[in-house]
Amino acid sequence: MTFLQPIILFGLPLVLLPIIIHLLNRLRHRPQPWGAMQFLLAASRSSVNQAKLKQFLILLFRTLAVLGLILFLSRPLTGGYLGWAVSTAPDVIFLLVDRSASMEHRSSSGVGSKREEALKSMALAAEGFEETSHLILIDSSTRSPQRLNKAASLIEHPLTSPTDAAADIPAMLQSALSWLVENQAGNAEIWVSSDLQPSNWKAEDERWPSLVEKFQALPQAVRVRLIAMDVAESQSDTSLGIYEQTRRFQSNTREMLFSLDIDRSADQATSFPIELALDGVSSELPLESTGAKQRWRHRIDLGDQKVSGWGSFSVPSDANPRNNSVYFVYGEPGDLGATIVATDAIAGPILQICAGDFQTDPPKIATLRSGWNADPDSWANQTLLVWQEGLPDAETASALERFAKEGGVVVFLPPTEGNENTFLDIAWGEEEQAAPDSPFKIGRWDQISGPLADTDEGLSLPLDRLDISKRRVLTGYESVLASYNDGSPLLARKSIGQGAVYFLTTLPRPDWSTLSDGTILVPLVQRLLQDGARRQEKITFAVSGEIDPLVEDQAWVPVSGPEGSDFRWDAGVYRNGDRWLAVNRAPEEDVLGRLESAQAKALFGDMPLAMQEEQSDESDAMQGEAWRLFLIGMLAFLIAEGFLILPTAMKSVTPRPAL
Amino acid sequence: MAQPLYARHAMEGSVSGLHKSPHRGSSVEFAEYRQYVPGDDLRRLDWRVLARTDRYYLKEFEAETNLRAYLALDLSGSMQFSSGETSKQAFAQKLLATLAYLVIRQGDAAGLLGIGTDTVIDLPPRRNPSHLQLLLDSLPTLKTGGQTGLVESLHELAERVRRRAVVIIFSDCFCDVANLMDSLQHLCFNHHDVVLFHILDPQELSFKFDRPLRFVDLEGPNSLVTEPSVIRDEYLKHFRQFLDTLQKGCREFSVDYRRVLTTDDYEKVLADFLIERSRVGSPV
Repeated sequence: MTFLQPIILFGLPLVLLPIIIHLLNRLRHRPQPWGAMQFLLAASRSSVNQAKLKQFLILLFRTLAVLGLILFLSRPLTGGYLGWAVSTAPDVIFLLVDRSASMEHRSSSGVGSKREEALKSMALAAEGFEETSHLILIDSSTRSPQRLNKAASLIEHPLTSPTDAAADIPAMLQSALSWLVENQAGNAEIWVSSDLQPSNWKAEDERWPSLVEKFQALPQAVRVRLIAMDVAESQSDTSLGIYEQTRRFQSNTREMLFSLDIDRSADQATSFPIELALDGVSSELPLESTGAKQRWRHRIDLGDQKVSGWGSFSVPSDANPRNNSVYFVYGEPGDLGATIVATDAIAGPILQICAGDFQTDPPKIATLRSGWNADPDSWANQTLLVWQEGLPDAETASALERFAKEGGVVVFLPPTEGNENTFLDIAWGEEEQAAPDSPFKIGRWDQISGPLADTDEGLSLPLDRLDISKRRVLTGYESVLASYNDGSPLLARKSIGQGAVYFLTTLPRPDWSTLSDGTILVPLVQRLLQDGARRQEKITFAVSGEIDPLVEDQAWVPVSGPEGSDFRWDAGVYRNGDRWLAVNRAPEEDVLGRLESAQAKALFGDMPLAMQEEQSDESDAMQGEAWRLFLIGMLAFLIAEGFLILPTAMKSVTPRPAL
Repeated sequence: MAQPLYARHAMEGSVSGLHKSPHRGSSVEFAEYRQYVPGDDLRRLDWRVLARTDRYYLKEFEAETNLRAYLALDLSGSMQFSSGETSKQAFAQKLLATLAYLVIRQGDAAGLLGIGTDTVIDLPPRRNPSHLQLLLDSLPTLKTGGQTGLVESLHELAERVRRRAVVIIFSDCFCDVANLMDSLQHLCFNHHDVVLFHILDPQELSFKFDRPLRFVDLEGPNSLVTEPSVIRDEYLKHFRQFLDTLQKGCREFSVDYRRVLTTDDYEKVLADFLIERSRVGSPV
């Protein structure tokens, strides 16, 4: 156990005070001459055991009350194990601060955010160790160990300010471990303040067992103190996220289609405004919220003048102001271009026709190849790659990934002959043939967003009329945009960088499906072609904390967002010359949830761990738990002592002289 | 206080007085006729009866004699205890002096027996006023201290005094009750009229103290530091047992037991005592 006011511990001998007073009192008892001594002695002999026990208890309670008072005044810090009770201050204390967006949720006390409450708690607790321990700050964004001279500086430290990035707790622990090894420090304590958000803790991550093993293998003792922040369930929160942003080029106008994901902590229907800020001009859009989760679609007409700019959507401030806004940018569209890599002699030309750029005069026909051309110049101006052959090998896959990350769209169609390769952990399986009179039918598809969404006029693509005779099984997929009646995917998507990768599980061949009719395939490919146009625009979308190194090296100036924003950690719009950068909050930060305490403890294996559930409204609850304990103990001992010394009810003596 | 002190039983005295004597004598109080048996004093023959009936009868009369009162005062250390203005010893002396005055004033004899660890003073009963003066003068000189030799002194008194007497004891009886009862029985067996004034202090009955104290034994070197509230119940239990045993024993042996508190009005105590005596033992 450690103390913030250890000097008061010099008063510990005062616990002997009740005993000394007791002994002095024995000497100073007023003498009472007494004649009926024989009865007194007899009574004393009968009551001696009870009296001695009572005296002992009174003395014990008085002593413990003084002990409780001294310990209370010395402001002890909580410790998890009994062994900690006698331990000295550690050589190093790592202060691992979760700065993720979810930590900006108001704490259960409602006074500040969870991050602010955690910082206050940690700073107050660390004050007592300023002289004896090295205080090392590791924040969730930089994960770079920083030495602190004063614990109080933790609260205003630039590296403890809020961010929109997600936290990676195992990586933070790894950083602490590396520091310990490099600096050959002595005994250490790791104080982790976090809201136990599963996406931050990554309980299934393979690093955990390895980390715990390495910590335990260290010669110095390492203990963990976990300050688990919680929120009051009554606090309402609404988060905004851009599910999809699509540019559409009609004949004379340019427009953007947005699909926003609106997640609310309350599930009752309500209405609230959404503020749209487009190039600095704000307007309010009414929204009728129907439930806890809603995907809201909105179209912005840019007219024919604006070529590039930025904007944001915001909801009114609530329990977590950090997840109330999303940012977007748009740029001058470049040329559209598609390359079809197909081995199928029938599907290839059909796809080539569908992927032409009909905005130009004359229309620009897509390139059809029977094999991949590794020359970068061959796809430098392309926005869509359609791949209808076995999944590429590692080298080619890397090129395709880069193409997608730059904003392009890659669409994989089933090969006629499969191979063992995977792309982003997704692989083709076996071909499946439908019964002759019972083709595979589409059960559901995303009609709100994505390339199969309804048209602006509200007309659905006729996927329900699509007949599919043959399909290829897909494994490892995540997001499904359209699926068969049996749940298997027809179209799956995986976002990567600025772009996306799609997998279509059937071919536009008469013996495979009726896709070649064009009523579905044409709008699908055309939309994907336009989605890939982002590759040609001078705009970049990034997730806070996951900025591409190429982008990170550039000098970005904040255009919108919180004051003093850092594009690496803060959501907002940034500009570098004619290039735009929109940084948004890490999507996993919007996923509500909390690891169970037992789960969090289990992650640390056998490492000594003390966990503090931060649910009280005390700003200094980290110590409070300890001093309150001793204060309550002291009061309890005093009450018990008072109860014991209460005089027993005097009984009247009945004998009277019998004359 | 004009009420005389009567004995409950017949007394044996050397002079005539208020009290019945076990002997028939030449008093004015007719008792009975009794047939002559050889050896009787011929002077006591009733000649009139002889003349009328030609039978030998003696006419007997109740003899009246004086009372011999032994006033035994316990001088053990416990008698000096006082929770108020009056100690048990002072209260006892007041009673004793008053009774001595009454006894001698009514022509009876009163003696004083001061009993400490041993008998410290022994004034045999006398009737003359100068003896009363001697008795009253000796009372202030009596000092209390040590354990009581009451039991031994009463046994010795029972053995020594052959003639019937009234033995009035003033004591808190803080000794072995069984032994005390033996000595009282001894006195009663020898036809003495025994009166026990059991003198107690109210605090000895209530044991009310509000703080831990060092109790110092008035009869010995013992002391005890204790919290009265802790042992009060046990103390009262033992004390009540003592009182019950003593009272029961006195009743069994016809000892006139009178419990007196030092806060009581001693005049009333004596008045009640004398009035009750007059009812029970009024002279024949």
